[in-house]
Amino acid sequence: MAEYVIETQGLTKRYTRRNEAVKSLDLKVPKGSVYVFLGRNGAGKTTTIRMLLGLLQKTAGKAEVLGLDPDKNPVPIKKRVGYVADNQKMYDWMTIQETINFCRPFYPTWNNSLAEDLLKRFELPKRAKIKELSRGMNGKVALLLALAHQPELLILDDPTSGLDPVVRREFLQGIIEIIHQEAKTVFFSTHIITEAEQIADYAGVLEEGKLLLSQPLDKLKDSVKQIRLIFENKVPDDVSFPGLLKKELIGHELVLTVKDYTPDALKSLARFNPKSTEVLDLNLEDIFVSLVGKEAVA
Amino acid sequence: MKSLFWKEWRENRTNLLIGIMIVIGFLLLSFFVSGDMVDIAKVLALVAIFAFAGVFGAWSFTKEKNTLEFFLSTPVKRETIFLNKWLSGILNILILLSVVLVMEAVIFYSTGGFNFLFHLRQTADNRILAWSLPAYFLYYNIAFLLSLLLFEIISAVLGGLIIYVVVAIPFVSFFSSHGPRLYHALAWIWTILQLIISLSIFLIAYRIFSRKEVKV
Repeated sequence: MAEYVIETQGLTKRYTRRNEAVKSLDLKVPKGSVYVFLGRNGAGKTTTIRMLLGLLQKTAGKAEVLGLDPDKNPVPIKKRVGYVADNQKMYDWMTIQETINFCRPFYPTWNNSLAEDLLKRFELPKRAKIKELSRGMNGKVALLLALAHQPELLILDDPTSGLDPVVRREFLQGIIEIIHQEAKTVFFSTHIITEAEQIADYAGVLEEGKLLLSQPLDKLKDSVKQIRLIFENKVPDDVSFPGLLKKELIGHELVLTVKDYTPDALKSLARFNPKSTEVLDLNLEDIFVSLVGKEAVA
Repeated sequence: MKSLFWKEWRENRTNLLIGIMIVIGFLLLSFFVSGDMVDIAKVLALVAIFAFAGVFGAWSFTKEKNTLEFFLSTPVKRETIFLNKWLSGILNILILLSVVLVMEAVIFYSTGGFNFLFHLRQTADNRILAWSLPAYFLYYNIAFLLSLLLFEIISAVLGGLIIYVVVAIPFVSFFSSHGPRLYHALAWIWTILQLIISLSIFLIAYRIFSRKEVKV
């Protein structure tokens, strides 16, 4: 399991008999990767992350983070993982310096000079109280705390939600710089796709607690395509394709979004005699919408 | 851990300071009044500590309502967090009790007394050991458990008080019907009973916290 920093098999979280937040999740996050965990609000991303950190107990399945079971070894995992929660609430009566002083003794690997460096880089005033900070600055303090102990794995749970675009870009820039400098593994949950595309090399899509796909981003973009078929007459009803995600009919034009695209498979469409066939690349947002959108083929 | 204890101290110090001022206020009052009012003022100081025991217990987890996820995401054992919180509250109660003892000693000597330890020995087992301290521990533990379950200070304080009264009523009514004849025996049974109940509540709270989940 050493090549994966996070590995789950059949990971399940059931709050009540009817409320299953995570359903038999099989997840593999390779060491050194930036893995973007995509999903709509309420898809089960936060529940998954909380299970990985031992904040929630799994109902069934297996999970390993850095080779350790989060239910049995939460403290050793937390020592080696940097975590930023969605809208992380810290002690608002503390100053930034007091927050740092409070957290520092918990981590044997805490690096004071790195903390100082991050304070400067993020332009955080040490004496400001947490309650006086904007949401963006609050996020930066959370990121500083997650990074200053030099974690092997950084888990970010929708850290930019609620931030305005300018602050979000600054925040992301900070993350990108750190990823490049420190070559860390980053597990980054978000529902804002454009930001995910900037930094990811792996992507997983979660919908209603189920992992729809998990692939290297390049491979994902190679396999998920849009095929535009234009017919002279009526569009045949029985047009299909392996891994069909979405089918849209606009007049004599049929647009197929597919997840298992190969040039060979494209040849199978020739029997429907389209006037023209065009294969279009999709960006991550289009892919995500195709996978989880209302019009997706079940 | 020093860092954890510092945090609890900073969060509790305002309540503690208010408690100290109220207790000193009642004890100073006892210095300036006469007759039955002296004892009433002293009893009010002890009742104030009882009220603050509930507040300290109720405040323990209520104050973590929004920050529990952040706290639990630090690499600190849950046992350590729990014990640190519990001990901080107990320490605050003991500080308030110490204030009572010191103030009483000051008043005792300033009014011509010469052997405070003897005076204390005569009064301590009744007022502090048999009645006050176990009552503080029990109320504190009930409010502590309720704050963990409800994360709501008023509910934890009032709920704790109601539960304490419900537990105490059978004993007090029994005591009232048998009068001072059984005073010492009953006082010690009640003391031991309160400590046993306190310990049970402490263990229940510990079990709940060790399994407590930060839900979405």
